[in-house]
Amino acid sequence: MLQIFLQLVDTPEEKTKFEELYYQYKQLMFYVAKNILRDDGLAEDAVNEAFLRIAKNFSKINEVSCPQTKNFVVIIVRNVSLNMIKHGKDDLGYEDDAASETADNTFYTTASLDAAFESAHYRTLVEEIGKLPEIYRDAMYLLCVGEYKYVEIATMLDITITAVQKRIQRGREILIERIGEQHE
Amino acid sequence: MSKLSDAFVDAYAGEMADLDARVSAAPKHTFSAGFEHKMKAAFKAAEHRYVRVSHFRIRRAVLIAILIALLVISSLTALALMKPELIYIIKKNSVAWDIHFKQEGATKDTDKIECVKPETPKEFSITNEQKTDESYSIKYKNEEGKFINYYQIFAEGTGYVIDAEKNNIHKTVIDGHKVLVSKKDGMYQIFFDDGVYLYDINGNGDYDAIKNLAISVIDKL
Repeated sequence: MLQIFLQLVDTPEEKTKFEELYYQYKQLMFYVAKNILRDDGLAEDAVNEAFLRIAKNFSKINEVSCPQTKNFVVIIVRNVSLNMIKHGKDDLGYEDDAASETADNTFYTTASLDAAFESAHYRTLVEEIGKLPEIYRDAMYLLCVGEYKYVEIATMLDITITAVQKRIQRGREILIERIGEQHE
Repeated sequence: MSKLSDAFVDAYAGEMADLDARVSAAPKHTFSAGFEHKMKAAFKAAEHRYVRVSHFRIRRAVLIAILIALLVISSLTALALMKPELIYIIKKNSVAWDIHFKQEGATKDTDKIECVKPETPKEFSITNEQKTDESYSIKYKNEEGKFINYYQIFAEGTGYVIDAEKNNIHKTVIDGHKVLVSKKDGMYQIFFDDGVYLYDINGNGDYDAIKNLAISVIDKL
């Protein structure tokens, strides 16, 4: 209990920064959510949930106006929206059954992922990443560019660590499959 | 940065440029009053920054405030006469999930456990059954050496620390009841509450056998 209390430290400057982020990205986030959910009310709910999640992970944001932050907010609101579609009215937001999760136990690091694409043609790699299903692409982005731990990604996306593993593993497999023999 | 990281940065830059163009062309959305109201929670959350305790110097004034808050909370809890309601707090960090069960409302120290006995799973037999004033436990085993343990205890003050990196834990619904399920190295654990007791079922047997045992308990609640 004491530990929980001590973890909350008021920092007013964080609030100002959050306001800046709110005004800068709320229209963009709404557009992304609406594109997925096709409903104004649901899109607003998704944006609200996304901002809550961003607020809880706010220490991970250094600068409001930078590409990384923009990517981060888009990834969060996109995954919230996709989760809403997947789970319907289920408020749990987690995978349904542990026994159905069959991912192997591989935790890829940025280095181990990169090794598979060392000889790939760069432009092809960029294009194929763009074509990856968003749920795989976003998890891989958070690992490779954000350099977040699996547990952090799981918390941000509100999924299990195993689900993060599966998404990264599947994204890697698709990329390898599509890039095939196209080497530099 | 690695080649793959660079490629991801470029791929997202392209996507964001396209997205920006589409957002600029789209009509500006006017957010509802309900949305603005709900956003207060997010702003409140952003006022707090989560830091590691080890990095935080405890100030005397903060400590006193915390102690007063704890005293008030303890007093209110002791006075509460409502039906006990169980909540849990899950804290995830890079090392472990800390799951703390808290019972709101009153159970007296003199209260004795009212045992809920599950149905013995098929092909399993009871190897041990123990009952005390505070807990009830049964151990099952089958001919293949697979085991299932069942515990029923008062929820107040009960907590679990579960390895976060190697363990898979998630919330789910079994037989209409919210439960937590964890899986590690072929071991399954299902735990849930009924407002007073915490039920913990774990074992290395088939997941369905463990789940069915949980269902047999839930059916009796």
